[in-house]
Amino acid sequence: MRALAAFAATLLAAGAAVAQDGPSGQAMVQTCYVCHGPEGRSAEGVPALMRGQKELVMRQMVEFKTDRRPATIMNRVAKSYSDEQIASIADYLAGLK
Amino acid sequence: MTATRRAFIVGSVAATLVAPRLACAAAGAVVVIGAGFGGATAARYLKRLDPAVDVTLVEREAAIVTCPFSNAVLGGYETLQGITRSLDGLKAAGIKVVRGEASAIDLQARSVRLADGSRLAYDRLVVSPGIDLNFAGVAGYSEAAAAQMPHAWKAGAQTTLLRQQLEAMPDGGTFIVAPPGNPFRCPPGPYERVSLVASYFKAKKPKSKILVFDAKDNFSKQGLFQAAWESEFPGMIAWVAGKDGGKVESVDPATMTVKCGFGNQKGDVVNLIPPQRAGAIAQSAGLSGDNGWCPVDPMTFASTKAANVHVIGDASIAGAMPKSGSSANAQGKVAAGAILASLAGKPAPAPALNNICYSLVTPDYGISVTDVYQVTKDKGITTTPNAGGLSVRTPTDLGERKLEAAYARGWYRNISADSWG
Repeated sequence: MRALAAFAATLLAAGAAVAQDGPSGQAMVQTCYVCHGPEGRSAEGVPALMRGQKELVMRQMVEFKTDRRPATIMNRVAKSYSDEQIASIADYLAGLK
Repeated sequence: MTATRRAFIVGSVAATLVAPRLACAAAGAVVVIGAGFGGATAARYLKRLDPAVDVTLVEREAAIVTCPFSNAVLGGYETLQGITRSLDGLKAAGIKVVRGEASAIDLQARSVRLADGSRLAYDRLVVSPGIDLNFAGVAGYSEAAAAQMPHAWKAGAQTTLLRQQLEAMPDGGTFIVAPPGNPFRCPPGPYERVSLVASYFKAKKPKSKILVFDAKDNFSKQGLFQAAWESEFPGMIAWVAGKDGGKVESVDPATMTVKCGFGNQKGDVVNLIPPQRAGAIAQSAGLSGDNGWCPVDPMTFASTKAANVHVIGDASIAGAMPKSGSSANAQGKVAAGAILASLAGKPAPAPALNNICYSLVTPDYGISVTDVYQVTKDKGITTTPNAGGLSVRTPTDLGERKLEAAYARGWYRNISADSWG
């Protein structure tokens, strides 16, 4: 019975609760794939996403965000993310195989 | 009361019934209706994030002809074959693709009935049916009338028909485009269409005119489009706002005439884009509201009308997100994550949602709008302040227009791979 109650509680939690923190690095990076291709391996036109280079990705995203690097669209995109989210994005990309 | 207590009781009963299945991690059976950008992405990401989950995708067509880049077909810059996406990549990803029409959803029994009478049982259902055209929304218009006045708002035979009419039109002819009121599929779409047809006219039929009779007083990327029309096609395009009599009240396909407050206007070619609503299956299953679209929990895209059902893509009401292939793709990923978490008895992950819409004015002139969304239970889906938005109004030495035209093609190829493999 205790197990059942616990199980029901998890079901309720699943229905109602969502993590209080923002989206994970993985969830955010997955949204990049519409332009940059699945896993960031762009097939045409748009640059591929860099892997294994956390510091470089962070620096470039901050440069986009602050308009220090010219861009058509990435400056508009980067302004949408906090520095913590940029770190989280760079962290996930760094771990992509 | 006691919504909570009641849910607890129902939950307890449900637990007894489904516990054995849930005991093996997140595995379960998910049925997806519709293989467009939303459904295909949901199916792919379900399998990618948990190969053990059983995913069945129901699609009535053998392949998907995408609305993105169908305006390039109308301009003569792309072929219908070039915008047709095979479903083989979905099959290769381990998704069971069933060719058929979903004709009913039994929410209690958790099964989808197909037109051939067969049934597909599900633990979770993703409904991604796109739009239905409301032909009755414009007097005199009908599915039959669309043979004379194509809507071409579902890509395929209608796209080919409209292209043929534009090719047959004499130089000096009048092309009328009538966009609907909000909300509708692809808000910048009618204006990209006007642009790419104007680009074709400029090259082949420079004496022709384009009249846009709009139900609305303003439209997506308006400043960018109108500046481009002025510079690229001076004198060719006239746009009439709804407040100035632009809203088309009725049409007469026999005389190729549209009637609006502005007056009666005869066109050599007429593209009437009627009002829209969520696809028929969403209506018949009771997933839509009075306005014809489907309300959802913004955190998970779970239907607020039915348990164990998620509605994504054009059919859903998604706050600030436009009805676009890019939105549907992002929503498919959110629904996939939420479904896997719920099958595993875990809380849904926080959603990440974005939209990137490129439009071509000419094959070498691209513009875009993008947003990364903030999502809360209370405020729903809203744009991020001081971020996102439109391409620069005045291009710089960077060559934004040409670059964005190339990125538009890259976007198309990459979102296609992300959605269909």
